[in-house]
Amino acid sequence: MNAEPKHPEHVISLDIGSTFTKAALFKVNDEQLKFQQSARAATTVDSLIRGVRQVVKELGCLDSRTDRSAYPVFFSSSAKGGLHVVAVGIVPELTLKVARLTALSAGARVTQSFGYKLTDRDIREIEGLSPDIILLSGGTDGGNEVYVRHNVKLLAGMKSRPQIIYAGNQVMCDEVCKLLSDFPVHAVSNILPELDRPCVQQARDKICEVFLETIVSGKGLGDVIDWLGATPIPTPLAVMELVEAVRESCPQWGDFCLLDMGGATTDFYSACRDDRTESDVIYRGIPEPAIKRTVEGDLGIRVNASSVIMAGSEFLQESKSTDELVALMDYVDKITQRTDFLPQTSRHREHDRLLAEICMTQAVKRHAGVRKRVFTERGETFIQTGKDLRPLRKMILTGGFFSGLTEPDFSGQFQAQIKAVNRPDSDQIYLVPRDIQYFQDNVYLLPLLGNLVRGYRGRAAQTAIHHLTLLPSHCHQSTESAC
Amino acid sequence: MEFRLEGNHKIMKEDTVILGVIGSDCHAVGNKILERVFAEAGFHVVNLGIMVSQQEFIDAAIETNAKAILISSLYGQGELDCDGMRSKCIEMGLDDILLYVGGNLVIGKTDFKIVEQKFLNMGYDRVFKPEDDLQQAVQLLKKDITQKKVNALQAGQDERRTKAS
Ligand code: B12
Repeated sequence: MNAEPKHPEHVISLDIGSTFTKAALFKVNDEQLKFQQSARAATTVDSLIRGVRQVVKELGCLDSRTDRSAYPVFFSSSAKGGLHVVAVGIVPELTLKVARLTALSAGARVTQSFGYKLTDRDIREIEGLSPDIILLSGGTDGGNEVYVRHNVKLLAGMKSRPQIIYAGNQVMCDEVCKLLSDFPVHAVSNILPELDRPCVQQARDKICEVFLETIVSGKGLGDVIDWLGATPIPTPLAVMELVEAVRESCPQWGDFCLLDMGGATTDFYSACRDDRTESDVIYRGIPEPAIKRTVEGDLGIRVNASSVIMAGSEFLQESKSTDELVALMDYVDKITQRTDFLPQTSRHREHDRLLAEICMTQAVKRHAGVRKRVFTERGETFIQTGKDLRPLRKMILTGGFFSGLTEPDFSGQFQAQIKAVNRPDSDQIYLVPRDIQYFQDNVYLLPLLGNLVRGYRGRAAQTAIHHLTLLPSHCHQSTESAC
Repeated sequence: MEFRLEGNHKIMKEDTVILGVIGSDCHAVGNKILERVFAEAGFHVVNLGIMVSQQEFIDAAIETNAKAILISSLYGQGELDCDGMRSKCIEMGLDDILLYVGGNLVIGKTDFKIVEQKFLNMGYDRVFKPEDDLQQAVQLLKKDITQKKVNALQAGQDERRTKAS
């Protein structure tokens, strides 16, 4: 035995969420992080440190001598709304789309995005939203200047002073910085230097850096940072980094996707290349990142249950009787008023399952690429935009709902719904996964493991995979589809 | 001859042109030739390839500050596919862009003069038939772009003069 261990024996991961502050203790060994126990307390919004101190204490890790945590802590935070970004670009399908993807990949919440020329009304809207960061893009390098100049001049007249990251046409860099000299402005390389070559890393890193250096203090995290001796990352970035780490450190696991469903939003991550290699397919639009995150702000099984019904209305009308629909609507009324409601009867669980299936189906459908069938003299050809998720074989399910899931046939029902996304008579094909195995995060550990990626990359990834439970699949039950 | 319309360009790039085959047209050979010819003539060519919609041409032109859009149509449906392009450009703020079109623009044999007039009426600046010399097209494009820049400079001067008086 070495007198001094190479690494600490234990490590704590902690997340300050909007309602709960959660933490878990792990034992560190050479291959894995062994989960020991977890703790949870209400997030104390007025003074975050109280909740943090309480969970550390509950884990039995409070050093009585120093009144600090006995072990190193890695932490994330989505307190006070997390990291809140407004994206500005020019063409919705080009720079604006890349700007949104960039902000999402940095773990941000994109509350609004603006294309083409900003108006005075847009500026007032941005002032009202009071974002932490405005991610300003527009133009390829040497490209559009007119829109960029117009937008910057309007932003310069804003009353508030959010952080601005400029990641547009590099020709405009000096001019933009000069016009925005009253603002905290950061210039980075263009997120779309050429039309077919997005390049988002610098902008993404800058968002994280600005979050750390300037934003966290405004979110009441200053004394938490002092007390823990560590700096936070936005909660969704922890999941993003875990997805990256699994893809990198566990190549044998192959391509996969991850769905994180909460009460208000549903996040979807895909980890597979945007392969554009089929010879009889014509590819359109910008190539998408290998690890892509999308966030559906209207899909969540509590706060947003009523918009879930809207999103799934077509499916519900076709498959449910009027009585069933009435019962479902009553339930939705109840849970949107009491968002901490937990299902009590099998009927409740049935409703929750249905809502969850719609969230999942819609989130996957919106994330996936689309093919349109066209007929040319060469025969049937397809025009594709976005990523093809059909080769994916694994989906990880995380979030409060899945940690309590006991439904034996959940995956079979969902599989049937996702197949129904594509109608046989349609010329448009959603490239959603076909034959998939579902892996459940049954103690909701993944976001916490995500925090540990920065210290224990390979081990956090291995642990995440070992800890997942494969859901039984019931493909044979859906009669209309051959698996 | 170079006209600097705005000061301090860090990157003084070649003029950008957008190239592509419009509609559901999948004739790919001419497109590759055009890409090479215009790139060799000193343009920065953004080639969108075959089966390009009007919207895609316009989106690309906006982001890249393109000086011209070069549209090909080979399969005989050019009239249908190309109509409305000019008004869409104006609608999207591309007031000053040059629109060139070429290929087998209509089905069967129609007198080229008639075809040309049809496309000029739709708002295209120049119309080419398959036999036209591409080097001549390059020269025309250079001339037209220069003219646009001169016009923009003059408009700027006029504006300053009105302000001064
Ligand atoms: C090869 C070919 C095909 C191949 C294409 C393979 C491929 N992936 O490229 C296949 C078999 C797929 C095909 C299909 C069809 N084809 Co075809 N095809 C041809 C053929 C024989 C040669 C085309 C070619 O490559 N030419 C060589 C290149 C270098 O020349 P180009 O394309 O004309 O381009 C040059 C000029 O036009 C000019 N130019 C073009 N655009 C512009 C723009 C500007 C701004 C400028 C300055 C210049 C310019 O510069 C280019 C480079 O030099 C022509 C006949 C012919 N000899 O042209 C028919 C032809 C074009 N096809 C024709 C037809 C009708 C079809 C089909 C509709 C057939 C059908 N019934 O299904 C389909 C259409 C499919 C579709 N969706 O597009 C007709 C078009 C008739 C018309 N317009 O009046 C032609 C003319 C044959 C004919 N005489 O009937 N075709």
